[in-house]
Amino acid sequence: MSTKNMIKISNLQKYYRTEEVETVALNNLNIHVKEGEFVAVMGPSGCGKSTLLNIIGLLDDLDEGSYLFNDIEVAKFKERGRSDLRKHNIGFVFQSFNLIDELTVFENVELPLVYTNVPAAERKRRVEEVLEKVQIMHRRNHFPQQLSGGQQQRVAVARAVVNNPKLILADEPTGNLDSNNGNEVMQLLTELNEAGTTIVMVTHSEHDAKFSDRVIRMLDGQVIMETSALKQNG
Amino acid sequence: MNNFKLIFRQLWRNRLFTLLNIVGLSIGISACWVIFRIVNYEFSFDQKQPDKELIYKVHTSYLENNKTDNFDGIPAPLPAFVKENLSDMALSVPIFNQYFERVSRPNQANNPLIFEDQKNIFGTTSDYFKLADYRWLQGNKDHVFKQPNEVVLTESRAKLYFPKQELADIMGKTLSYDSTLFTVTGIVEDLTYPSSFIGKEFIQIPSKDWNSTTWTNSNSDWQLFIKIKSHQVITPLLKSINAKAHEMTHEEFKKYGFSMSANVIPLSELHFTSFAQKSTDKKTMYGIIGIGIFLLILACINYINLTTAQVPHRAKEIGIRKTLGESQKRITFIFFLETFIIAILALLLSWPLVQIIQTSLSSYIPKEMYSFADNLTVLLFIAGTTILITLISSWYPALLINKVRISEVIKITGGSKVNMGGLSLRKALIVFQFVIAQVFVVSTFIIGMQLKHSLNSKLGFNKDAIITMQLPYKSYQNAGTDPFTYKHALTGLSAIKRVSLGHLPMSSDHWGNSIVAKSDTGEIRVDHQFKFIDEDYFKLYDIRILAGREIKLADSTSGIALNLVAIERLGFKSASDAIGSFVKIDDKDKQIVTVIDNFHSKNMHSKIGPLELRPSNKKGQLKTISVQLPEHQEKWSSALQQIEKEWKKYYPNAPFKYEFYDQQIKNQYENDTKFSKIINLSTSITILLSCLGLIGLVTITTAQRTKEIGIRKVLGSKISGIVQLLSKEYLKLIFISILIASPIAWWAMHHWLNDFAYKINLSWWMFAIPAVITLLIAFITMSYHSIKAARANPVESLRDE
Repeated sequence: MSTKNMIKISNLQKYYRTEEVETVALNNLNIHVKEGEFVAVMGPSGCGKSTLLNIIGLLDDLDEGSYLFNDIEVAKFKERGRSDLRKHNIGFVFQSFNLIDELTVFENVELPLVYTNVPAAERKRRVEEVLEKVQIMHRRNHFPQQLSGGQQQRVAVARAVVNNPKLILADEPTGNLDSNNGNEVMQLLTELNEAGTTIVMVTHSEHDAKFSDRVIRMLDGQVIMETSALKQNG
Repeated sequence: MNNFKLIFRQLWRNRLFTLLNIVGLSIGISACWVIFRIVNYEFSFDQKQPDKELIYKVHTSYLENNKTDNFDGIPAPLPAFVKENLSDMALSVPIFNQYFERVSRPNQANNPLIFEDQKNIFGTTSDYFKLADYRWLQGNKDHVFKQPNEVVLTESRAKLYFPKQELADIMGKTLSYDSTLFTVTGIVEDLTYPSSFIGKEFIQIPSKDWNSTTWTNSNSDWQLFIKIKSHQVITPLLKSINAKAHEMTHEEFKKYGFSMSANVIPLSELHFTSFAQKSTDKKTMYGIIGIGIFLLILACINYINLTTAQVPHRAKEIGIRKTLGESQKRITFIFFLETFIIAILALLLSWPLVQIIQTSLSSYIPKEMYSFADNLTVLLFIAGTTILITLISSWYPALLINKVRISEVIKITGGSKVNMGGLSLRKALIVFQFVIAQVFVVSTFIIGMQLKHSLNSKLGFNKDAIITMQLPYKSYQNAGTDPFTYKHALTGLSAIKRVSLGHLPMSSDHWGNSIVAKSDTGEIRVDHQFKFIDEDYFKLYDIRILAGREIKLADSTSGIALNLVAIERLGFKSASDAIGSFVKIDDKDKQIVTVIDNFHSKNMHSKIGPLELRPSNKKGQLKTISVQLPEHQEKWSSALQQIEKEWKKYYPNAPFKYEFYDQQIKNQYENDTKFSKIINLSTSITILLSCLGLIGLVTITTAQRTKEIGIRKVLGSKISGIVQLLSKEYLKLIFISILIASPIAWWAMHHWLNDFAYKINLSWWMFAIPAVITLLIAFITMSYHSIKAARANPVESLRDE
């Protein structure tokens, strides 16, 4: 783990407005994540952890505050800049897998490489390599709905890492999986982290949180506690 | 990644929507396709004619009581006058229509080729070929009409008259026009573009016409084109012509209180000049262009509705793509590409649809259009339309899809919770579609009612079990035979009830004149129509006599029958009062011997006017024979056989043709029936498109309300309650459409009915019944989706929470 901050968020404010009320989702939030670190974000439903993850992933705007990504201020980035930064640096793993139903396993994993203009032959090599790694190669021509939940999540992880991102954001990656499949996914993430990838994971599960280096606990849009986890390796 | 592969998977996955979209767009495209072909044909008339800006058609205008009446014809001496006196200003080209009973090839006893009633045979001068731009296949334009009785044929006619012969071999051959022989001295290629020069055979203008001195008689068969040397000569040219016309007609026309002058229409405007022969109404053209644009817009609205309905289902996919770094530009591009593919598929489906439309509306489509197919322009138009449809139809769904907030959709497994906004726009579009549809539904209903009214109203005479026949008018068909001979032959047949000669009671066959009656203050002049009849006419047609006696042939010198309207207009107090009175017609005294009840002598568009029935025994005045068949229909076939047998005896060279009179009366409403057919088609199209749009909107809202429906069911709601809940909102929209459409439909139908003298009265229920029909159609359309949503297991819809 490096001592350099990959993510540094200061004084972050995020509101949700409806016609009648304005709700504070994140309130004066400050966090940092170091390069190569594995951070788990925990807290009860509605505490703002997913919102935080969306902001880190540049999927959502912040209303006030600063967000430095590798020392570059990205809070004011336009959609195009965000999209560029995302596709080159960030991989996503979601609780509900979010695979595209119309695409095969191979095509789903290939997608990030298409957007970064990787040549076709190179794409094939890298997709096959990563599918081997997550042990789903034999299902490469199947569509997502033909796979089990655990298999789908492995495809999602493969898709998240195929572009060798510096950062993986995982939103309750084991939420829809049984414990065996969940452990497999956590193992995969740990391996990636050991290989140098920074991971920020939102989770409800104390068990999963034990795989991380540090746990950030949130309540009502604020960080209430940070603890170093007693890291377990499977 | 292959975009096409992905798009096709997407389209296949949503097969129903894809199909609805393709069908919707193909309706718009095929309508535009047909309309463009017609409009393109009509607007291309004379546009390829060389020097078109220098060519004019001369016509006459009659000024009476400060009202000018234009007439597309000229006095016969005019072309020679221009040629002889004004040739320094213009080339004078007469086109005098020539009528021949038959054209045939002489000396072909074994294999006679006879062509009856050939059209477009023109008498002209060799100058015609300096004006019209023909390619000469045989002969030469500088060497025509040097000898008497020469004929120049177009290639199509040459091949018709001399099948399987080389064009060169046809030169010098003779053709018989009735009894006159003409020698073929030239063959020209048919014009390859739509033109006002429609001649197919050309002979020299008959000398009696060219040398005519009768300036007071104009005829629509006589036409004159001029090609001017420069635009400056138009004014002096017309001045000279009118000075001559005035000199030759003033004295005579002054007696009747009008004057005549000549005017010109530029060739480029001729096809759209209302009083010109074979002209097309420009307003109608703009009308159908409007319909085309309208249908296209409806089709695009439909696409937008259906596609935006799918947006929530696709939002997740778009969200994931965006998360992985796909740019907005690329997403938009793929969306446009998808629309383009659907538009292309719709285009493919349009091809058979166009054939169906062209067949079913063939009476509206000019036949000549097919001989001048302008495929390249049509192709360019279709390509342009397809691109335009793509742009119009995809902008809104693309905009919407780009608005999808990634952070909202990636959490969701289905699309049911995505807030798509813009629902009010789609509701507005649905209302718009249904307003149009409802106007058409009401129109269909009212037009149908009026047609029924026209056909079933009492006409004032009997029309059933009567057949009519036109007696031959061609000399070789024994036109000279006295019609009474044939009539008497038929009267002798036991199978036949009655026979009568004369103009049919309701038809366009009649003559016009005026009746003058003496009154206390002087004279009353009444313009009227008269029909020639014989003595059996009243009985056969069951025409009611109000006063006087039945008319006899002996009355033909001075006795007449008048209808009640004529009697009233002439100032008689009653029908019996008029009997025995004398009136003047053509300065001759006529005695009113019969007063008949009014009957409809024209269709329901016209008011019953003053009518005279005049007995006649002259064969030239009695060209139609009516036969009343026996009451029992099973005896008709033998009666018809006997009628035909007699016909063959008296008119062996004429084909035996008869028509049932009730059918002929129906044909009087041919234009109305055609119009009603168009309206019916438009109604079907607009209702179909509106329902497609409705399906789209219902799909989206039921998807959005899946959870609500689930909760309601868990809490005990019945299926009917859910269906009601889902349908209510849309029925409300359709009700709003009906409210907006009703006054529009009322206005349009009021306008249309104004054209009928005898019409139905518009009433509230004529709007209420179509409204109920539309609501029912809409309800049935919606019920599939709403019932499906209502019957769904709530466990399914609530599980992902």
